[in-house]
Amino acid sequence: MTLRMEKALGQLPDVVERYAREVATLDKGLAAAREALAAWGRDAEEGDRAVIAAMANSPEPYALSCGEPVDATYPAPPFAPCTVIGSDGSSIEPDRFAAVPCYVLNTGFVVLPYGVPGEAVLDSKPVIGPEETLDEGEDDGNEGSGPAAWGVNLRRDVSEFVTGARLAVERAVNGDVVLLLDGTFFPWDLDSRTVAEHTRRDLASRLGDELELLSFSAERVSVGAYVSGTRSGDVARSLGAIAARTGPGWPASDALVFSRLLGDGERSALFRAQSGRRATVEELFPAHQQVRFFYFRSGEDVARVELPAWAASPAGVARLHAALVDQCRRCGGYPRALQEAHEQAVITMGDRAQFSRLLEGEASRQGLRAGSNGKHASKKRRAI
Amino acid sequence: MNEAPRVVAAGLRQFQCAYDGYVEAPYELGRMVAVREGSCTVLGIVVDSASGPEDPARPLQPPSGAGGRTAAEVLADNPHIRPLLTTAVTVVACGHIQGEDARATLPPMPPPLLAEVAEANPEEVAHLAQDAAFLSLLVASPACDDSVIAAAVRLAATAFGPGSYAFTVRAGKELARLLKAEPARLTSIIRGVAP
Repeated sequence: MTLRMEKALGQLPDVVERYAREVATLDKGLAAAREALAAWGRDAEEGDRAVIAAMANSPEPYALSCGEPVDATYPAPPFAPCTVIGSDGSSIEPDRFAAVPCYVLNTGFVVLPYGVPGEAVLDSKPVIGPEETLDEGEDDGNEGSGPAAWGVNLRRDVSEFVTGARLAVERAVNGDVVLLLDGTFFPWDLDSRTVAEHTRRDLASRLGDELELLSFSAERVSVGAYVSGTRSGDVARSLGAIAARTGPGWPASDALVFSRLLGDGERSALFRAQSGRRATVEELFPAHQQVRFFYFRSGEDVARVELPAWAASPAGVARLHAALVDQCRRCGGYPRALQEAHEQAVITMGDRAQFSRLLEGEASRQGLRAGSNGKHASKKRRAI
Repeated sequence: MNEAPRVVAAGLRQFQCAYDGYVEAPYELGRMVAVREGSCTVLGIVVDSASGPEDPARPLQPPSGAGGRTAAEVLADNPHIRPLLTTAVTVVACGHIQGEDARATLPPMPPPLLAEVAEANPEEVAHLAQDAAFLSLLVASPACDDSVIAAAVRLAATAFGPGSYAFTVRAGKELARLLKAEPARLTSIIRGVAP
């Protein structure tokens, strides 16, 4: 049976009303958060000290000031000719019911020259893995084993970055480049215990190498990892530390704080992301690769834009900011390059079903059959 | 310079070819084209061409702020658009050449899929069209309206050089024979042939 709407819908008004009440109570909290932001803007050192003190007792990420007044807002500078590159990925996880466990990574990428030489490219690069025999027994402890430990999401994230970074370096010979990535700058699965340790180690090393190579082009290349509709709360948490307030009525998300501060196309100050937690992903990378971020408003959307420290020069940030405004203007409020990279990467339900059939066919041709599983078979059959 | 289009759907009477991307000037209406791969050279006449998004689920929307600018300017300012577009051409078979023989009949088999589709050269046009018999397949095809046939005659005539007038007269007589029961259609085509 599908969802019985006539039974479910009656509960909806109460849920919406409850949420509306919660939002209304946030007004006071937001006003207090804005006051804390202003105080932090007046005295960055004092504000940072309060944040660092709070950080010591918490595993949560906080924001620290990064040279710009934290309560400042910045309009976009004019857009100048450059190549905008976007990359995004999609994947098919190993099917535990399939005769052969394997995964698919599809990395979509676009290269869009605006007023600079070079051809526009929209394409994707599919990889079926594992590309080598993975030793599932290598890791011990509580780490996962088998296909779950292959880290498909992590591989996809790294592939997105590597693809975009290489294109950026390649196109930098034609002029300025802005590289846009979808999601956070660091792949957080690098510290996921479900992914085999040697896989994480190899991918971190590969990512580190590519980051270093890209950083050599800092003068011409800007980088921004774009999180649309962000729910991060680093700045809100820091403001709570400064105002000595947390809990109900205090804004949990930075988007709430900045949605009332930023005008369309404006960005916030740059912040440093930091946490007191040990053994974090950040610790895998040197200081000049650590994440800086700002918030950017496009229409009603407040996006978090993350970039490595080496790309956070005034010129690099200005180029990125101008490109974001231009890209969002071209695509209803979201960067065109990321939208098209997504379109190139997406694996539809039809593609997934076809891949499954082709895999089954190839396995059968080579004399392999999937093990029997009653639940899986019944879901396929669905007969009464 | 775009590459030649390639056959993407093939039948004995009709085939479709697609360019690798969007082209502003595909083979023109009535142009004779040739597929020179396979057991024979298949010749056909362009009866239609269409350009649009490669993915029909993503309709093309004019970018905002494009007012007052030409298509070339809009495309240059929006470099993501062109790679997502494609141009396809529909061709009706009007004969084939096997060795030295040119026959104004259906080819024995369809052109191979993915074969290149080139403009027929003047020798091929003259070889097939000299007696104007190729018009019978066009007249019989529901895909060929009057303007296609008129354009095919006009363009084929250019392959005959100084003999183009004589060819046009032969074509007119052939059309009169084929369309003796449809005088209105004949008149419409002849008007389209006249310079």
